[in-house]
Amino acid sequence: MKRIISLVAAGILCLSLAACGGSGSPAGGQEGDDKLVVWTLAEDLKDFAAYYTEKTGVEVEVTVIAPADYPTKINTTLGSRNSDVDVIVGEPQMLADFYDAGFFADLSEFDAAAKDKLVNYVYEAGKDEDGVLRALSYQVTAGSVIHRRDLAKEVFGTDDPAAIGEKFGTFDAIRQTAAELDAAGYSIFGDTGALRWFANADSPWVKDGALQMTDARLDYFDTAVDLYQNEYVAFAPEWSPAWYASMAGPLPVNAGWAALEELDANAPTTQIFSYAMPSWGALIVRDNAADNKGNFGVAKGVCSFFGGGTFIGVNEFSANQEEVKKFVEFCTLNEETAQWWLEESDGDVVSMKSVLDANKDYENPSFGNQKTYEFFAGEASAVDYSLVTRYDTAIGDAFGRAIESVQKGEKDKETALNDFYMEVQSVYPELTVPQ
Amino acid sequence: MGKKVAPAKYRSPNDVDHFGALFCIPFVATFLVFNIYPVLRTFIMSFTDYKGYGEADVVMFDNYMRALTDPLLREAFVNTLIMWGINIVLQLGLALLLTVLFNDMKYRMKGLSLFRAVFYLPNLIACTSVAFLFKTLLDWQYGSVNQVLLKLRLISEPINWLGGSGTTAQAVVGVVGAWMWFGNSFILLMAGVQGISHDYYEAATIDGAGRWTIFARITMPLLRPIMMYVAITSLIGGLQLYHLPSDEQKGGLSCAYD
Amino acid sequence: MHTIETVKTNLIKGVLYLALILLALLCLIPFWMMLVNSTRSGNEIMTSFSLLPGTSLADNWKLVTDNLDIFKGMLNSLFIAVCSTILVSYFSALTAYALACYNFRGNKLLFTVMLVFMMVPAQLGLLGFYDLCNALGLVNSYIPLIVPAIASPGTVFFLRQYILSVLPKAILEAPRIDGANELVIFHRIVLPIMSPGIATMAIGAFIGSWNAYLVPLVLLNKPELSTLPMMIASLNSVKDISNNIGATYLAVAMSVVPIIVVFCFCSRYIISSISAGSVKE
Repeated sequence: MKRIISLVAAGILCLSLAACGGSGSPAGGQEGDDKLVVWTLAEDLKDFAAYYTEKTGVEVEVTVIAPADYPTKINTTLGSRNSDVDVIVGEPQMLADFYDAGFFADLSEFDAAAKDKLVNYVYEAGKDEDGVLRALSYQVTAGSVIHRRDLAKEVFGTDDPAAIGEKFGTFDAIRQTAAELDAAGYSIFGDTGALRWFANADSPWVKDGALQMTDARLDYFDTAVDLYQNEYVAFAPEWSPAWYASMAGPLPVNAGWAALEELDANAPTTQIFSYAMPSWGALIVRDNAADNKGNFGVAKGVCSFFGGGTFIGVNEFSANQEEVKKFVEFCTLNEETAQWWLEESDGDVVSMKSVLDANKDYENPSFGNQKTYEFFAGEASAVDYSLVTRYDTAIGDAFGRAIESVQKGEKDKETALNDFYMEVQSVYPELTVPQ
Repeated sequence: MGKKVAPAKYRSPNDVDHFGALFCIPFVATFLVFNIYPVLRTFIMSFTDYKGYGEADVVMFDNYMRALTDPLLREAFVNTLIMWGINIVLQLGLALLLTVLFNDMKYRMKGLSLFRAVFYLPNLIACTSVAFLFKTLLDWQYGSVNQVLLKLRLISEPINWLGGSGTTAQAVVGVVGAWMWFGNSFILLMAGVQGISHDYYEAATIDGAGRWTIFARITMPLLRPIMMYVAITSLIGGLQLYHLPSDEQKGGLSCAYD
Repeated sequence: MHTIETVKTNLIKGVLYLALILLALLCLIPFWMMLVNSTRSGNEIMTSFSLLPGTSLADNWKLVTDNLDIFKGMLNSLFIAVCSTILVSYFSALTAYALACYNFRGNKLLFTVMLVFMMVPAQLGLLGFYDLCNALGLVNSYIPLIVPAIASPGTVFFLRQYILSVLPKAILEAPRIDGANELVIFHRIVLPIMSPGIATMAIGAFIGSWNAYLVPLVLLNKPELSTLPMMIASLNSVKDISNNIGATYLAVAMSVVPIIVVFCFCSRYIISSISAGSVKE
């Protein structure tokens, strides 16, 4: 019996070697100039690829890789100069490292067009340290404060987005707004993490190699602690089931939990007034709003911000750069494509200024007929990309932890800040931190 | 019957010893190429500032110095140890208990195959799915665990399983790890137990040995090599546990395991 | 007195069975939840909890088949897993036997080196491994996913311990006296005795290979070569995650089915009940 198994093993080994030999090398004429290979981390490009094939007849093969693993895959394969892939993507926080490694090819020939046609921050994000354009995006992810109009009318007497914007315009205003909402039985945010988008209001985290701890940042710190300790937030973290559920209606708050069985309508529950998120967040709210659909609006916050977004570029080691560049151009610098994507995606905000302009009067029914494109276009053009650094993600996370430790009373502010500086120093020894 | 009944050490006649070496060749060859070489290469790279791409300059011990003096790394290490500790005690304890139970001659528990299959189920689901599942179940506002406990009036306020300062969370990760792997340990121990020849048991019973004596003097010593295997692999697996804590915490304890 | 003894025994047995059933439920519930969640939509899963199946099975199925070539993925994974498992089983048994039953120079050394390397996590060797495969032109091929299975320190370790527990040394003497070939002894005598241990390890090896994610992700660039875990992960891209969760659960549920089949198959080799009195000779 075992002899049979060993024979079978040997047989399969030979077979597998033969099979692998076959599948390992390019199968016939499938490779070559007429097929583009795209590795992406979101499903959007699949639609673009199909549209491209429809328009030009060129075959495109798209592979979707989970965002968490995308850098690993790119670093390992392109680090060995692999040429299997033609189009690569990145989210803004990944781009700096990719540029340094030399994975994204030079796209300077599109520099003029990009500068002219695309929203400014997208153009800036696409450039590397030396100002060479290497990636472009078809979308902008400008952020806003997505709020409940009906609650706004009830508490503030108005649902005009401009007025709401003022109520979120500074940290002091936010504190006041939070108190007003709490008095009416509502929570301003799901949790204080919503404030993190405003951390870069006036200066970048790092300037000339030094960590910047400005007054505005300390203000943000205090506000976050304030809101938490006064229980102005609902304690439903972003992406939690409770947070999703809150978009559709009331949700329980941690206080007074014991009365849950009685389903008392007001006392133990609250409603979340607003969510601070990039533009794709608005789509999420819309999709989860159920009966609340149409009750939301978008307004400005303390500063204009953006979050995420897919940037497309050309693999430096790709064999057929000319063809690939055409694809990238098609996806990002072509008006017709931009208009198509705006409709196809049912709400994504494109990066092309002219298309945004053309659609600015569109009244979005999911948001109480507010002119969302106009709003986002305005926000996007106000985004100052120079406030973004490659250190933002790690430093932002560390700062968040520092804030949390003070919120929960584990540390006092001074200790938390010092630990924060220590942490930043250990992750980025090349930076100088305040003492 | 002597006290120790485990078989004596092996002595093969000298003239066939070289076969042993021969048999090991495929293993050694593959091992060298696919296991040792990559690790060595990574080891050498640890002496440089290679960031995963691009050029690598030799910076010798700088990386090690940074790692050793990093307080967060130490904290991460301690946290890992705690999570592993809880995991292994529960896991091995439970597996051993079950093995004893099903091996017991007095109680003669039925349904071994069925139970064994069911206990192995947790191991079958890939690690990441388990993490997500538990994250949903243990969510402190909407998760079912809290809802059930509340309904049963066992607690008056929902317990924050995964967030908070950490000890509960670490215990949770440890328990989930044990839940995933105890079936595996159980199967391994049972395999070992069933390899023990009945002759030993019969002889011992004839000699008048009681159940506990048999277990302590025959089963345990014979199981020792396998128990050692389970302990070591659990230790190694526990130290390397990556997906479980990171997917469950997503932020709160992110320094618990980077 | 006899009756009281029996009653007491039965009582204890009853309690024990109860405990076992509770434990079994604990193991089953998350599994059941996975099945239930495959029939609910992403939205439902994120916002509520239910022990009863939902109605979105067809939708989830559509999502899965639209986005993934799932049967191809299953076939690919199956091929890789079966090949690796056979290789692991055979060569680990061979090496374990050599380490346990032969006295040759380097025996202890090899064992120790093996133990040490077991402690090195896979992520550590990943870069070096990829580099090696790239240099050998083995990217996009299944060879680096199957051949390394020949050297599996964990399995060798277990089987060595297993042999030490289970193989009576006397068994080897007779055939040697008869002048049998060492390899024949291994195949005819040792392997059958080891089969429960091998079957046990085979299950683990199969599952390990089936669920393997990191190495195939990095090594395989062509979609038609993807393995099942790679495909499942691709359902989790940022914007779509809340939408796709139901489909993800469905895909995971589907991926578990072959494992269960293999588990049942291998279990037959693991002798099922000690009271059956199967004596090893």
